[in-house]
Parts: sequence; structure tokens; C-alpha cells
Amino acid sequence: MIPLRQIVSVTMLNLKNLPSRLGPSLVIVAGIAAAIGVLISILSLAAGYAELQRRTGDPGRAIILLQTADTEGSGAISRSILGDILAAPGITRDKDGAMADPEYVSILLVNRRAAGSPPALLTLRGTGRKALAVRPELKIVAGRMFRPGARELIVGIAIQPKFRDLEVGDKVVMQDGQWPIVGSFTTGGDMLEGQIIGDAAILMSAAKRNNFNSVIVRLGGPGSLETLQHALAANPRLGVRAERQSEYYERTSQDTAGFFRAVAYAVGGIMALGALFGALNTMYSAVGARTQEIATLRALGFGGTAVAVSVIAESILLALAGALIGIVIAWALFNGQGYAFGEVLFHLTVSPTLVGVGLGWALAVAVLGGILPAMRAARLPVVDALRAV
Amino acid sequence: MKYFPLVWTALWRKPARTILTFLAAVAAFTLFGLAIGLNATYGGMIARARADRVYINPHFLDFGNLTLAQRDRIARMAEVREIGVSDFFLGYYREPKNEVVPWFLDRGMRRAYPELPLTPAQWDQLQADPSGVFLDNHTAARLGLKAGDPMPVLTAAPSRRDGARAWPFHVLGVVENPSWARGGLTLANYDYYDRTRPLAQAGHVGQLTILLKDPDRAVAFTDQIDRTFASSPNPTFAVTEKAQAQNGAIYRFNIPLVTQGVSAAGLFMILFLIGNAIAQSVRERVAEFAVLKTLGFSDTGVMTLVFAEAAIPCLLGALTGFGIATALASKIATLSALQKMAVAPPTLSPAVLAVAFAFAILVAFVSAAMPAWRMRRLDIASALRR
Repeated sequence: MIPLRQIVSVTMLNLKNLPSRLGPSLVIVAGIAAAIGVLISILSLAAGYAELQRRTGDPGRAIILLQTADTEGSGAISRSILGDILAAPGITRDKDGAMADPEYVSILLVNRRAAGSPPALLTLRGTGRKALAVRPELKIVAGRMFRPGARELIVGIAIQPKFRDLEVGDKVVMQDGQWPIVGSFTTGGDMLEGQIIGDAAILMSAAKRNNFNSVIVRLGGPGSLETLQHALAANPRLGVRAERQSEYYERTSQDTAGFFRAVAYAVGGIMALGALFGALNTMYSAVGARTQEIATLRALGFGGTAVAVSVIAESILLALAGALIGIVIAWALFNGQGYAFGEVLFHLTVSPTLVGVGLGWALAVAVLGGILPAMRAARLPVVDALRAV
Repeated sequence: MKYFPLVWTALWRKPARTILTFLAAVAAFTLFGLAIGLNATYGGMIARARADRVYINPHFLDFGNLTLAQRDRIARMAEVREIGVSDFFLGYYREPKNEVVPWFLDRGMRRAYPELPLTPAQWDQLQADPSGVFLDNHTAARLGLKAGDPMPVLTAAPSRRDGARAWPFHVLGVVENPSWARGGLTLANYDYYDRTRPLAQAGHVGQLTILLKDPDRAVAFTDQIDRTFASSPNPTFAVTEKAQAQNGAIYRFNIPLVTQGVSAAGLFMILFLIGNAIAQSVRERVAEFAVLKTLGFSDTGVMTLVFAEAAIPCLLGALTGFGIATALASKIATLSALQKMAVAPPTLSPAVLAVAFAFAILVAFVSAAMPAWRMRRLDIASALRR
């Protein structure tokens, strides 16, 4: 395999000479670092948001909503049909009946920690007796659970760093007086951690509301969702439908996640285009600077392919270095940062997938930016180039 | 100016390099224009927010937990010039995906919210025909409705006194969409809503809109309102229009941080690129600069030539990038991904162009500083000897 050995030796020779072209090389590194850094930073928003939705939606659970309601926010399930819903097949049952939790959803004004900033809205969720059976991931980390029937609240651990007056022992002003916060909880990083929870029945009476927003149920084995859906559809008086919880969150988060991704790819795309022009510029000038070296190599019998590959290898090496710098900067600045988007709290995530996306984009820019200069290098007229020495 | 041909010729010595530099600058300034333009849009919203307007919401933002009695009490306060009542519900036309949010307005909104795109005659029509609504052209197009069409709106749960969930509206007319109502408008009659909804909710109000006599009192007024009703059955959350505009721009999307970060990254990218291009160009032409100095060009003159050579692709890139950003901005407004999020499109005003030019000159200056200085210090004799 003489060509392969040629490729390796010419590439190694080229890379050894790289330090002498440090200035132009920095153009690729800096350009790609900026482009990939911006791309990954914005994508980390989308990734963090999607991750939150993924963790919240459990395929082993279903959410029951009115047929006329798109989200739990606009749902209104009256108590009169609750019994029929809970009796439907497909829902797992334990010794005290269906593992189903009718929930109430509202919003609450809370104060941000930063001085002078306006209040924000957080989701206030009411759950029932079966909450822990349906959502076993909910664990108290400080204080205790609210007592059924009591005017007490618990708060998710994602809330406290960003909002004040929500520590265990603080009091929250509600419609019918002040409710103490008796505990804080974790759910392993899902959306509920950015919410405040109390007893659904008591919250509804305080808000003078008669309807639940949704019913969260634990599904039995495979096929039980379909069983449940058929049973609910067979009783049109109920006017409700069941949706796998994971699909519900995927559906309802589409717009926001799609928005973040659209912004990331638009901005990252324009940046990458700029970086591409920079890469082309640098690689053309690198080929120009190596004219004598390339001509000498060709005169010694090295093939055009080996020379071309050495140019693209240089471009790739510089681009990957730039991409790594960009990713590290994005990671250092944003990974794990809390972000409040409307009522949803989540953490920006520079995931391994994003690192792959960043490196992939850098590779694409490097190859596109290296290929034309590489072709010029391969076609360099040897005699003319040597005469110029 | 008379040296322009000199600089121009120098730029075209290596056309590929100049064109690539220019294109990179175009990309960076397209992004810069969009980012700073978006910042300008939100800055404009905050600047245009009326200092004398205050909104009073229920503290518990479920539905209708303020009352007409509170309206009457606030209307009697000395600070209040105008007061209007509004409410809304979430409904849909034909299918749940065709969301409709009727905005029910009382007579007071006519003066408390004069930005509403209704003529006095249309206001009279809205009062005279209680189940009529005015749609903006975006909503009308989305729902496929025109003036005179019936527009039954359904709610998820029963929402009427008679236990039904269908509201038999009809379209009185279609008005031009104002840029502040990106999500669209369905303007309806509050009095009709109030007397048709369940008795238990009658007299409830979604929001009070107030114009004050003295704008300087706005913040104090909101505090006073919240204190007054803190321990009433219907506590309030009063906010000035300024604070509300800032809340949307800064706390929901953090527009300043995102736009500044993106534009800074774009400029950083071309800083090295232009710096490198100009350094190479100058290195290749040291002898030429020495000749210019021999011909009597001053040190500063030579330095200026180098800066000009860096500034021309930057400025042309800024101008072209601004043009592309302007073209994109009008497209962006119609993207469904952005419409769903109610994001306003960037404003590519002359002020934004001026900022882009200023940064183009700054980038040229910084990137060309080193080679320009070297040419200023260039010693003719030693340069020509090479």
C-alpha cells in the first residue's frame, strides 16, 4: 500500500510544519470555536428542555384529559364522571382500587430572588391520595409530605435557588389565607421539581373550582393503554380520552423545543457559513505557503492524492480543535445552568449527543473548506512551482 | 478619497482572499443585524410602553377573581384618569386546534386602551350587537372567516349560564393586525359575556386597565393597590406597563443576553479572519509600502491605507449583511415556529445599521492595528533592500 504510506508521511510532514503557519491556522480554530460554541449553547436549551420532558413523561403512565382539551391547563373533568373513569379497564389496581390520581393544575405568582425583578408564575399542582402510588419517583428531601386535607404545600427542589419565600417553614398567601410550606421534594429531575404541590381537593375549594384538570393513571401491562382508550371511547358521556404520558409531553413540548432548535440551527448555520469562508481562506493560503514543499514532494514522486489528503487532514485537525474549544466554552458557561421558560424550570444540558453534533458540523465545515484548496494543491504544476524557487 | 483606487487595487491583488473575507463579514453581519434588530424590537416595546398605564390582575391568576365592585372602588381613586375592564376565555372554533381567545372589552377600554384597532363607529357596533366580534386579519385568515360569518366558539367545559359550552358569535368586521398583538385579536363585548356566563361568576373581571393622571406615580400606585386588596377576598397583582414589557423581553427570553452573545461571537469570528487577511496582504507588499513612503506618503498616510484595506470588506459586508437580515426579518415573521412562540421579528432600522457600521469600523481597526503599526514604523531602506 504505497499510496497509504505516502498519505501518512506527507500528512505528518505537513502537520509538523503547522506551527510555522500558526497565525492563519488560528482563523479556522477561532472561527469554528465561535460557530460551534454558539450552536451548542443554543442547542443546550433545546436539549435541556427535551430532557426534562422525557423524564416527566413516563410510558408506564397515561394522562386522561377531556376530548376537547389539548393540554392539562385547559382540562376540566367534573367529579361526576370521575368514578366511571377510575373504573375503566387498563388502569393498574392495588388493594385500595385504581392507581389513578385526579389532579388540579393552576398557577401561582412567586417572587424571584434577584432584587428588583418582577414576580414569575409557577405551576401549582393539586394531587390526591394516590399521588405517591402513581408517581413513586416523588420523594421528600426536607420536611415532610403535606397531610391529606390540610392547607399545606410542598415545593420542588428546582424552585428554591431561583425564587424566594419558598423555604420549608415559609408561608404562601393563598385565596383563603396563608399556607405553610411543610416540605421540599425531588422527582429525579422532572418537570414537577419546578412546581408547587398541595392537596387537590383543598386547593380546589380555595380557588372555588369544581373540576379537576386531568387524571394521571398507572397503566397495566402491554396493550392496557389501548384497552383504556377503547373503554373511554365506548362511553361518550364521559367525553374524555387517554394519552400515554410520554407522548403527551412530547406533543406539548414540540413547539418550544422546535423553536429552540430552529433558532440554534439558523444562528449556528450562519456562523458555520462564516467559519467556512474563513477555513477556505486559510487553506488556500496554507497551500500557497507550501507551494515549494508540495512541488518538491511531487518531484520526489509523491502522488497528488497524498498531497490533497494532507491539506484536508490539516483542515480537519484545526476544525476539530476549534470545535472542542467551542464545546468546552459552551459547557463551562451553560451546562447545568437553571433556566426558567415561562412556568417551566429546566437545566441547560450539553449532552454527549450535542458534542457529537458539534464535532460533526466542524468536520463538515473542515471538509468543505479543505476540498477546493486540496484540489489546487494536487494539481499544482510541478515545473512552474519549482522554477519559482 | 483620492487614494481609493490605490486601496481598491490592493484588495483585488488576491481576489479569492478578498471575496472570502467579504463573504465571512456578510455572514457575521447578517447575524449581527438579526440579533441587534431583535434587541431593538424588544427595546422599542419597552420604550413605547406607556408610563401612565397600569394593569391590575387577580393575584391568583386562575379565572376572573377581580370584581366590578373593585373596579368601582379603584375608579373613585384620585390618581385614576380612565379605567377599563376586560376578560377572556380559552375556546376554539370547530376543532380544538383552532384556538380562539375572545378578549371581552367594556366601554371603558375604549379610552383606557386607545391602541385597540377599532374606529369609534366600530366601538359603537360592538356595543350595539353584543354577540358580534371583530377579528384581526391574521385571526380571520387562520380561521377562514370574513365579516358577516357566524363564528361559534366552543369551550372545553360548560361556560354559559344555560350550561352549554357554545358561544354563537358572529364576525362584525375584520381589522388590521396591530404589531403588538402578534398572537391575533378576537375583540368581543364584556357586558354580553358577563350576563351570559354562569351566575356564580357574574361581576368577575379578568383584568383592569388603568390610565393614571400622573405617570410618575405608577409604581407607587401599583403598590398601593396591592396593599389595599391584600387581605380582601380578591387580592390583586398590579403591574405597570413598563414592568410588564421588561418582564416579557428580559425574563422570558433574556433577549439582551442572547442577542449580545450571538453578535459578539459573530464579530469574534471575523476579527481573526480579517486580521489574518490584512496581515498577509501587508506582508506580501512590504516593498510596495516602502515605495509609497519613498514617494512621500507620510507614516500616518500609509497606516490609513492599511486600515482602509481592512475597513472596506468590513463595511461592504456590514451593508450586505444588513440587507440580507432585512430580507430575512420579513420572512421570519411568518415562520410558524416563531409565531407559535409569539416572538416579534427583528427591527432593521437605520439605527441598527449605524450600530453595524460602527462595529464594522471597530473590527477593521482592531484587526488591522498590528500590520498598520508595522507599516507606520517601516524603515524604507531596510524594506527596499529585501
